[in-house]
Amino acid sequence: MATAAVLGVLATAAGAHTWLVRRGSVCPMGHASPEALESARAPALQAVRGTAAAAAPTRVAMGFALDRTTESELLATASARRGSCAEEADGALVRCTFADREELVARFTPQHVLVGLDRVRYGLDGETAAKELARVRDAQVVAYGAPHRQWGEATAAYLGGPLRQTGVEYRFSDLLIDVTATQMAQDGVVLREQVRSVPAGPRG
Amino acid sequence: MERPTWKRIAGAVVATAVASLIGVGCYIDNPNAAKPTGADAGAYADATSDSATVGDSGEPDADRGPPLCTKYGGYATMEKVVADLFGALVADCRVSRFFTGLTPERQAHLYDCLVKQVAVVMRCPDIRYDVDNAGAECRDMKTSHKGLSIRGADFDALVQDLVVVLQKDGVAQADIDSIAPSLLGLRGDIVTNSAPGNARVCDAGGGG
Repeated sequence: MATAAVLGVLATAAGAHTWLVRRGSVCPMGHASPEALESARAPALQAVRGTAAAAAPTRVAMGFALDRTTESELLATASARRGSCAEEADGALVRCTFADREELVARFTPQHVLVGLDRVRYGLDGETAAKELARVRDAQVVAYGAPHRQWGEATAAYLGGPLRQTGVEYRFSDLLIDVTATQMAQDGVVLREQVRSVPAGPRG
Repeated sequence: MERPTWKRIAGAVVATAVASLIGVGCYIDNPNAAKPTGADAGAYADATSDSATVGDSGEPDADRGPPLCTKYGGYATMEKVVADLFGALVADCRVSRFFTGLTPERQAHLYDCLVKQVAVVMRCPDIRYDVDNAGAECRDMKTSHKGLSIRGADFDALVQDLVVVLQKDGVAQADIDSIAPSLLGLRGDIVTNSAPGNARVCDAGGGG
């Protein structure tokens, strides 16, 4: 009877999928190919960009050049820093982890073009996060000019409460830059630097 | 060789029955689910400590003042927050694969349930975390994230994006402070993978 029931479940596509999900063999979130991720990326970033018209003065960030740095160059740099890297999402992402709970996530198009970088540091105390945020912000002012928006306060006192967040953002026609420090309680303050290349296309 | 029709019909019937018996909540929604009350609603309440606390009248809670939902423009604002959050998540390289791979139906379900979840946390009058617009059950966090191997980093990314969106949509930091325990309290039910890297991550490359 049990065998018949299992065979019955597997007799339908949905049943088979469900069974595989329960076995852990299939991801219940579905499969997003690198091409699907790339198709979704452009409109999402164009919406976030809004009406920004000016191009970014530089596309170099975190020691890498968007659109130019290759995956092998990124891996070599990470290796030199004793990072451990692995591909995810069929190669659309490369995630590198470093000592001191630092992570670098690089996004590549199906054509292997670097289009996004996330550098995330976990477990910071408020004071260290405030100092690091100030350092990053100062470097960005030199590279990109005054931020287009900032919120919160970059102080240890402000970052003391759960979900307290301070951040800066730049919105260029071809580049989005975001830096946030967020008090995540269990993970301490999480400092995220995010740089994303925006494909040409409609604004707003 | 094609199976006889009766075998396919019997298979489908058994499949439906067995699926109901073994509770395949991880993937299949029950479109006939009753609106949760009592214990069902409690699963969510346990996770947020803030479930459906506003009375039907929407009167202000004596200890907490008027609902944040009302303060910020009502249910429509909750919908905008979640729509903005979806946009941010799809644009966020760290977690976009979790949302891009969903079918349109699953995206709609997730959107509807997330709106209700945010609405409950923000204490919108008369709103319960129960079913989506098609009547499918909005499951508790533990059930709905079962098998996804969500890491702490993924949870952090979503919450960071949500706080950015709340800030942009005009929610004061003091009010974000007040809902922080509800949001951060979900972590234990959502995060099931302690791997720092790619081990056993149910991502787009996971064979789906």
